Amino acid sequence: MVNINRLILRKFRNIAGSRYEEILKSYREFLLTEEEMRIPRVDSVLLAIDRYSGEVPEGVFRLLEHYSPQKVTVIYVIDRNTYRLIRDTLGEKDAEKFRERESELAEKFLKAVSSALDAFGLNWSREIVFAEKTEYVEGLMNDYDVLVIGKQYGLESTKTHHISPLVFRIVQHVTKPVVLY
Amino acid sequence: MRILVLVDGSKWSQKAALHAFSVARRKGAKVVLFSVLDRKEVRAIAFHLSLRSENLEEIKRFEETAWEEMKKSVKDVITNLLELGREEGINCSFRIVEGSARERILEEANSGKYDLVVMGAYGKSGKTRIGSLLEDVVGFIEPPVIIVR
Repeated sequence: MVNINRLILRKFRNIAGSRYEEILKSYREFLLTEEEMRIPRVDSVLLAIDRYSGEVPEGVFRLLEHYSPQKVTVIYVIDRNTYRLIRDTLGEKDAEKFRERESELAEKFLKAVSSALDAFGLNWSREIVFAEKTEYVEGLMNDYDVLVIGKQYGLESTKTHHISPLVFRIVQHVTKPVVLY
Repeated sequence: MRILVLVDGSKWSQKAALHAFSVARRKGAKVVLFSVLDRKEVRAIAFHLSLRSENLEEIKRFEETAWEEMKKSVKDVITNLLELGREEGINCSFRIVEGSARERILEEANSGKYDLVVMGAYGKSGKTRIGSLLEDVVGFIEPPVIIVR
């Protein structure tokens, strides 16, 4: 682990000197504190995908290899809100058809990701979940150190917006590091 | 693996650098600390001060001093990070350029030289809404991006 104290001390060695405590009191939000600068070890990674996420690039797997986490959990999220919308407008049968097709797609995507994780020697588990796409991921992040998510998760991109609004929300709410691809 | 770290001098960008170091240490990745200095930031302050001042020459001198201080401040941060990284055995270098932050960052990040970009969630103004950063910069960066808090 990088020695954080040395960075803090060095930064102010020739600048603030003995005034460090005084400056810290007045401008805490701009300064590094030991607690804030602690880089936690990455032991667990959540990789959330859906039909819009696209292929996970090799660079992400190489990054995960660098983290060497004890566990990588890959989830494919089937959108419960879309299911409800189809059920309420087109009926139960069509809603179930949507769910079946999504499950087939999930299997295909998860197989590709799992193969890549195997190739990089990473321990993984996988799950297909039927949930609300943002809240579910945000909730799970209490138990993980890093979130990996595609910029298009939840919605296709447009010419003007390269990051989906769902990802916007997730990045703003999650307090852990987020890897966007 | 080559990692680009965006450093604007803020504590968040320094934390991003430390995160990059912790990734780099494990498998010997190369880290490049990258900073963009935008003179418009100090010109904007100088312009607003000029509206209330009778002495334009004094404001111009202030602008020049502020610009030099801005450069020095970023260089100090980069130097500290470089020393720390090298002490930790990390292969790291730096690059400081001048111009529009968004343009220069996208140019560097998308140059094909990097496998990963690491940046802080917030900038020099401290904790603010991160929406504009995501929309204006991250959305256009081609390699995977880690947003560090």
